[in-house]
Amino acid sequence: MENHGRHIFIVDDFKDNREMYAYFLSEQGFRVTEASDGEEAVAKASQLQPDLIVMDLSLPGIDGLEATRRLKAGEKTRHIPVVILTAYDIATAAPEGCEGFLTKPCLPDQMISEINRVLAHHREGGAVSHATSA
Amino acid sequence: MASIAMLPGEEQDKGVPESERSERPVNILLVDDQPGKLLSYEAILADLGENLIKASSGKEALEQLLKHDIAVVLIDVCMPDLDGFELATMIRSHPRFHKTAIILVSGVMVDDRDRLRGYDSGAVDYVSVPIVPGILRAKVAIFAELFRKTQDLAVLNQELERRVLERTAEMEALLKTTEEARRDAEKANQLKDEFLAILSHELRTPLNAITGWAHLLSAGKLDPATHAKAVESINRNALLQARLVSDLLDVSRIVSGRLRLELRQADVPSVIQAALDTVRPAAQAKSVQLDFALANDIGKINGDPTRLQQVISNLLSNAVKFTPAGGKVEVRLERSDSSLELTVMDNGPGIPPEVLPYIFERFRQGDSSTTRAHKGLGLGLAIARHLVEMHGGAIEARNREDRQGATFRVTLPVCGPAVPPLDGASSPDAPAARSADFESSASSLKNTRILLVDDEADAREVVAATLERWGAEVMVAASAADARDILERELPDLLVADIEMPGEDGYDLIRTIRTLPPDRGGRTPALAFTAYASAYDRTRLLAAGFDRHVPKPVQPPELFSVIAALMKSASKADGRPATGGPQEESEWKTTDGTSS
Repeated sequence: MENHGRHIFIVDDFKDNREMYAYFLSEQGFRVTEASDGEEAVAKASQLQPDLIVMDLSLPGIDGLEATRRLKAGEKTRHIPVVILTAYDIATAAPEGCEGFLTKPCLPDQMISEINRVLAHHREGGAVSHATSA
Repeated sequence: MASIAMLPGEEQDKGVPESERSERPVNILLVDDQPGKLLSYEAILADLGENLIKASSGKEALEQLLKHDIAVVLIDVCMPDLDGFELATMIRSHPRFHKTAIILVSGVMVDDRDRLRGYDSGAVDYVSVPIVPGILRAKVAIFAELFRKTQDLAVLNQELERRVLERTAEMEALLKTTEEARRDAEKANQLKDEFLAILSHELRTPLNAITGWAHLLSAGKLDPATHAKAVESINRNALLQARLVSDLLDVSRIVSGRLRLELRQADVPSVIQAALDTVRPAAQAKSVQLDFALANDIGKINGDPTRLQQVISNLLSNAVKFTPAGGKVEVRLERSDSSLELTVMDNGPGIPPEVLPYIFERFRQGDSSTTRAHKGLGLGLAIARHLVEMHGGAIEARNREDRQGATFRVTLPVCGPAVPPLDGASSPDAPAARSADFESSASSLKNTRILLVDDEADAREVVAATLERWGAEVMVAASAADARDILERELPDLLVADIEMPGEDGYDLIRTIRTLPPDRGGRTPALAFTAYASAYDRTRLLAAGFDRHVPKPVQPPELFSVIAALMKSASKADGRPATGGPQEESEWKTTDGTSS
């Protein structure tokens, strides 16, 4: 399977959602790790070097916006594509530097196609453009 | 005078009264060294009705001028020490007498050069000897009148200035109020926008888990353990959403005045236990300890157990939410003379001082940013306050003094409302609301004098009978005019008025009453009955001067609790003992027949 071995890092403080996506992505052949707050996300991303990060915006401590900023400013993490996943309006929430964007409610299939789109784009060009899908 | 008074209408009635304007005598100073001449001036001018003051020398004239407000000075040119010209010059050079009219009297030949000298020295007119009495009288009269008019004008000017200042201040105040109202409206709007953003977020988050898991379930490839987990997650999130929706509906009911209590005997300790059960899973998930301390001899209260449990659950889940993992939430229930006191203490971060004043307001949350660590709509405390107040109780929030954390205290009156509905049929929702409970509240409005206004005789009689059963002394009026007549001679403790009346309605009545001074009933607490209870109507009622309202058809339990809450807040505001409300018999006796 194409996805095999690709490492997705899911950051969401709402356990039911995190688990649901983690389950489905694993089923689809991805390797999945999880974090439940912004600090943890930044620390683990640097260490785990995932292929892609799915980032919720509403997080305790530092929120998804700030965590994304820090990831994009870090030497060891700026190359990792970030897909924002939020229950807020896109208009109020789109952060600088993210590669993909998803709005809750988001079905697992929608997430897979956004992940694949971003990964394909990333593999081809390397240069990151602000994906304005959704 | 009216032509000088430039202000229209009422202004002409103020300032200088007409009678004073024409009749007020002014002072005329007569200066001559010869007493005989002074006497003849006096005789000539006597008819004018002015005050005549005599001076026999320039020096004396100056003294008189300083002593009195002089309108006209009549000076003889030929005087030994200080002649008339010199005196006129001196008078004119004094700033106070710069405009005083001076008439010179000359016994010698008067030619134009003499006249010119006189005018140069400040005289306004010249009279030569032999004096023609009519001419002198006419001249003095003209200057006396001029003086009077100048004085009137000054008074009117002052009045005008004062009015301009007053109006300017009024306009400024109005402008300020308008500006404040605009800012408030903007703030409310902004809060509503923030609230909608949060609402959308809070509804979508569980929806995401529901749709996601449902999708995976329908694909049908889950192993039994994951299947169970999916169903559990869907249930949990559907319940979470249901709670959000029910909070929203409660708020909508509160805003439109449609939230009703189902009153019965409520056993508060078991209500607390039930509330503790609902938050226990959340507390256990965070390893938060729940402590419940219950004092002995807690009686039952008349209340709505479901709604009371909602209040306590809201406070508890709030406390658990803000208490860090491994912390402790303490619940205490104590009984004082006439009330139960419930305290919920957490050891979270406490309430930020800038949030404390608004903690019970709708659409307010400590933090609306995306970093909000604490989820929810922020409606729980607003709902809790409303429910507590409907029970005739009070709720307050403060930060703990002994340690970090917040304390919420709910006070509920022990003797609450409990009576069957007005139609006499027993309510299926309130099986315990029977005669036994009614007996206990039967005298709780004792010594409360109520003015009841309703144009419909049947409705009026039923409500009057109900109020009387609670011990109130009821005065009835069938119209707004009747009510005002009663207020001419009586000072009730409470006004209860129907809004929809033909002709002058409840709005008109309360507006008139609110213009009365306090000792004539201007501040009487007022309750409105209305079939229209939208948020708009409610705002209109409050703006017109009503304190509370009860939707029609009137339910006795609700009527009682609203009256109780109203009388309680009125007595608190006045600092006088309560004359109504769910208090114990012993407290009633403090008013002992005297209606305040």
